[in-house]
Amino acid sequence: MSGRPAGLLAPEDLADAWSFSRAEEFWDLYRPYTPYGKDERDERRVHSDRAAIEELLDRTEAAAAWLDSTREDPAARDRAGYYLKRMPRLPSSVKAEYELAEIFQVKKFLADYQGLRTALDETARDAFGLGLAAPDLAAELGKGGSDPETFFVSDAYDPALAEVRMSIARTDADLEAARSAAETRLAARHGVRLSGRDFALVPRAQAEALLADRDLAVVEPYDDRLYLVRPAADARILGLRDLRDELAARERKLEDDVIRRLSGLIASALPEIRAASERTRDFDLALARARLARDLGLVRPDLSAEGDWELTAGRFLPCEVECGDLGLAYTPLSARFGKPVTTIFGSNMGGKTVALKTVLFFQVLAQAGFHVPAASFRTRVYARLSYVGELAGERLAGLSGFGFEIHRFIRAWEGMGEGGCLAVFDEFARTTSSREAEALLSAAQAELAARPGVKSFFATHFRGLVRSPGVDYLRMRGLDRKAASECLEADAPRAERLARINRHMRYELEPDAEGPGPADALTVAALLGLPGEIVKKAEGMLR
Amino acid sequence: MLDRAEDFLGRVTFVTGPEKHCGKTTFLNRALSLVRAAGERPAFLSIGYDGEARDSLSAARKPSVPVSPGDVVISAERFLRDGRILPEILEILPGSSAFGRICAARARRPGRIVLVGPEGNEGVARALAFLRDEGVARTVLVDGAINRITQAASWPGARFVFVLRADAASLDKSARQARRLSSLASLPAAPPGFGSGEGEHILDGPLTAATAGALPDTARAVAVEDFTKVFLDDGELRSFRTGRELLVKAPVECAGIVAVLRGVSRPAFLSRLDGETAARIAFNPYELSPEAAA
Repeated sequence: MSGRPAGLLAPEDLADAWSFSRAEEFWDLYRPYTPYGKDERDERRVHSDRAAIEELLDRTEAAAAWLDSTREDPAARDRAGYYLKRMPRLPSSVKAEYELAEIFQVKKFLADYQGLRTALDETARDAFGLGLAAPDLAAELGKGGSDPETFFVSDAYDPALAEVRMSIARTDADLEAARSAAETRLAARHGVRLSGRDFALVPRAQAEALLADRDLAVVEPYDDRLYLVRPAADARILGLRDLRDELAARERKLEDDVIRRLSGLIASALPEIRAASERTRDFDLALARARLARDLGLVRPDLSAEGDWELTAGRFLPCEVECGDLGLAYTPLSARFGKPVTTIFGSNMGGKTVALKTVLFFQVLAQAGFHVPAASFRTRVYARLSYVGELAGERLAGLSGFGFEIHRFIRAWEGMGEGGCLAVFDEFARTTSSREAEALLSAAQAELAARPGVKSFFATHFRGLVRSPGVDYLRMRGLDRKAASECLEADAPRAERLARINRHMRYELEPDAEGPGPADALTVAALLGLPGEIVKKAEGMLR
Repeated sequence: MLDRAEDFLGRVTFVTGPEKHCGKTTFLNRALSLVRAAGERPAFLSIGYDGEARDSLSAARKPSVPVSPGDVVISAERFLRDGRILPEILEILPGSSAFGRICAARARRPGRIVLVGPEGNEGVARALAFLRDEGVARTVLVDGAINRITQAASWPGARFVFVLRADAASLDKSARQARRLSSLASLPAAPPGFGSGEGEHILDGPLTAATAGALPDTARAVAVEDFTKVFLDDGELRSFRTGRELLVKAPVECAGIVAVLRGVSRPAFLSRLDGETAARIAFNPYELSPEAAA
């Protein structure tokens, strides 16, 4: 846990809740632009400190206000996005001598940071503290490069550099002239036209003629047919090359002096630059959250609840998308869970697991500092979010499955310490016999209801629970049997029947009275074509 | 063929070969000089660092690449500075190499540089995306192994050149390589929606003798990602194509095969090729033909 800021849920404790709630599918939509924003996004931070969450929500609203203010000027958004996307990474430490590439990074950052500032209005700049950053350094680095976003050690940094480079340019020109003259002589005397090549392969006859002209060309055998010919360097060319080497060494020394001087300036300004990059990151993340809030119609969660958990028209986005893809209507969840423990009953396909996922999805999003897809959402912040049950891709069955569930339960139980815990149990103890499962569930619920700061939710199909005063008992409304029966055609294919049954499931919560409850499973089986005599007999047994 | 600027201008060309020391970098130098002579400022890079010590076109020590002012070069920072090209850093590419960060830089004066480029398909894609998105060069040359040309498929107009060497001892082997490459480069493109029809099969991984043997009997037409995913030798490939149609999802255009001959005559090499392969052959561009030399 070293290096992890305080006030964050530990990823290893959160992993199961994250997976069950399908929070990753929402995270995929969260797209900051800068490398620093992406780094923090990838940490998947979920907070346990309410003040930190409120600060994130405030920032999102400030960014959303700026987005709204640019409705008439979408180019301003594009400009801000352009500069955010171009932000480079920055050197991580103070050094006596930075590499050229690191100086480039600092220069580019300062240029893009200034570009971002000009794309924002004063209100947005003030809200995120995007003030001027290292203007003197920016001006100094501005001398190096033909563009605000490029860098080289230009002559402007040192008159001696300009002088040595003029000498280099003259030497290069002399070398080029010598090369060109040698090439011309080679063509004129022996018909070997290099045409920009460093060397050429020529037939033996030509090579033999060239051998008599050793000052002009170097000739080496290539194979039994061809000879490799390259212009020979004369004393003047060798002298020019030596001079070129000497000038290059002098230039390198002068460049290194400039780089050391600029490095000193960068090292001094690094705290200021880092602070600017952190504020840029905060803006980038807030802007990404604000875009989501506007695009998905999200609202600010109210984190002031003491023990209540209340959601109005909450959309579990992964499910809403799936329903849309399948052409099914999605029913948002509205519920108030006042007691410490909530039990949700319901038949298979009735939506109780989705209800639990919705609870965790909203809690994770709110504690990650996001606005949420609902008309309203009220909760508190918990130090721990736990899930006990099967995860996607798992198949908990038999003794090993039961052992795994108990292991997860113990881990959740032991984590219910200071700061509160919201725990979700999906079909807990379903792998054991119903009698023992009901006893285990009843005991666990009674104990959980007595633990301060713990809010727990159970989905189960075991109806023989011993009811406790600290537990709310709800059920999914389930199948609208009449409507489902009316729309089913006797000879409809099974897939079509299933889809129609789905359409008539009522994914709403209602109070559950003690007793056997609705027999949706038998109705579904009958609608799917189970022989009538079996269904009737089963119904009789239930009565 | 392949000794005119028009062969390279305005497109991405991958200079590839079957092995080290086959002359890729020297061919790259020739292509760059043609492009520059046409007034264009190219961008160029290598894929990784092959550390090849000598080059078969010249038999000389591994050539560094001459750079002209305005060229955009991708290499490690230390090589950019050592190349004396007065590099203006344009971007730092993601990832790094054993030689440090890989940068894109514009040369402000002439010099020579050793190329070290991004590793892997993703790194190449990012480098090419930078060159395209920033509009820094119209003509791009990439020096790299044949198995890294997958990226070429996603670049409109991108092509590859295959440079291979042949001497007396390797003549038959080199001719086989040329025939095989030519045959693979001619594989037809799988049409849109391929895979849903009867007998159509998309092979996600490489086509090897083992994966070919595991294909269902009903697979009459098989598509692989691109031809570099085919690992069948000449005979196996012929046998495979007798019974099945082989297609590629992402075709890559072959600009030609450069044959670098040493101790082998052109007719001797050409006589070992079929007509289609022979039509793709260009010879060592450093070899002045008798007419040019006369």
